[in-house]
Amino acid sequence: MKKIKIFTLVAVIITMGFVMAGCGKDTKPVSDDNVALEQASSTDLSKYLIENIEFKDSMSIVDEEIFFSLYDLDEIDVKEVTLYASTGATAEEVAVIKTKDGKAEAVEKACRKRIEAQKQGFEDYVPKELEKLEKPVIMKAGNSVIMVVCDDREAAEKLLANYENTEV
Amino acid sequence: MIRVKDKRKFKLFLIISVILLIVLIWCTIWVNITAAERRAAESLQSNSNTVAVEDEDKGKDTDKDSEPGDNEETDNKQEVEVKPQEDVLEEKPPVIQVPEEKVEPVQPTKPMVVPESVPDGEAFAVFNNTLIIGDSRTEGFKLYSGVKNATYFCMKAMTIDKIVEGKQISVDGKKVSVYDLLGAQTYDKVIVGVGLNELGWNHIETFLGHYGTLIDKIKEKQPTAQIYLQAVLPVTKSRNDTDKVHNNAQIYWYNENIIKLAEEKGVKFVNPAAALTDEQGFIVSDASTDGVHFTSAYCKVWAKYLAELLQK
Repeated sequence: MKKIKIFTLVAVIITMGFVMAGCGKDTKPVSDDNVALEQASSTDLSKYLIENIEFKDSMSIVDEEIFFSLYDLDEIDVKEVTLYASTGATAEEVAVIKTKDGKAEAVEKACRKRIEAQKQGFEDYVPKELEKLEKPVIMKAGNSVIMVVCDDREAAEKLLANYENTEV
Repeated sequence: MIRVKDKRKFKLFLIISVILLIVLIWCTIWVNITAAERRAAESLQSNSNTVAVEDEDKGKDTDKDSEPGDNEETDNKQEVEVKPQEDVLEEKPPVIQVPEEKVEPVQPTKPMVVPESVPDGEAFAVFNNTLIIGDSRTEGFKLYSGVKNATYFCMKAMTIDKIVEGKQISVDGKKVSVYDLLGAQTYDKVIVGVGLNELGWNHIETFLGHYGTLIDKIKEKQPTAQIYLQAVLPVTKSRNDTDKVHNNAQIYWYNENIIKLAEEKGVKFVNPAAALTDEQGFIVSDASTDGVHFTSAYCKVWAKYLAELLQK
């Protein structure tokens, strides 16, 4: 009887583990403890994303000063940033922001605000772009915040999950 | 092998275990859903601070997705390039402006940023103390041109009626209307570049009426500023041939009317299209991916030529 109890208890724990892991999938960041992403420079990581994700529009680097204005962020909260944006024809965008300690959440919030602002801009203009804006990749890896707006969210997530920092 | 001595007790135990499992699963799912909803609500709440006012539907056709085909006026495309006005007034020496706080802060955490002036000798110094008003093309100009010393009031899908009605947009985290910006500092120049999103309006008079009102308001709030009406820039040939609204014939017609308006109001008309177009008056094909918006490289070309025109 004791063995049955232990067996049942183990079964319950395993099932709970599976259930929690399954349900948490949609809300948890893709990889919060990805060291390679955390250590990558914003230039390298953004370039990697730009080169490997299929974008419809031509993507170009936006000046830092303009980035701070667009994202309504203070320079003192950010160590380095690289922002790529489209010509305006699409909502495609890639932002890799390395924040100061304890600022990642605020920066993540700023990214979400940027997405909302973009939605507002595109809804009466090119409503098709809302599809991209409804499912952006916004993730934290330590003090780094990464945002990708593209057609293939899954591909972007996979690229980020497989990212290996090549810096020595 | 596990040997069961009391089958009845074992069955009871199994049933309780299954019920317990179901309850646990349900609780876990419920906790996850609640957490996700809370996160979404928090996100929405934070976003609502930046969202600008709702647009009123004026029943105007500003839809960009037009059917390819029946544009009978494409033969007029060679006429599209409008000669830039040459009698631009002499430049005033740029004055470094101290940031003022006239705009009502919605989020009082950060003062509104007034762009720093560029030294006189540099190419873009001509944009010191300049307010640039426009639509998505101006947004591209802001992003890529390298002109960082101007103040911008621009947004995708922006139209002249929205500007005149005081539509608010997010500038450095604050919701401001064009009137807020006009009251925030003294400008040497105000450049207005609209018309692209109004090309499909049923009556050009509506567009011109609103445009005239905006010019009057700018004059009222910035009596010393030189006002420039920037031409609606052409589109690429492929866009021209497939878009019955956003084509060069329509743009040419709008520009002719904008020139007349500029004359009536005693303000300048400026047309930087010559730097961006081919011999037929179309935007060169590698300057745009959708035939309308300029790539980063061509935003720089646009800025350089516009700066030259403003210096004349």
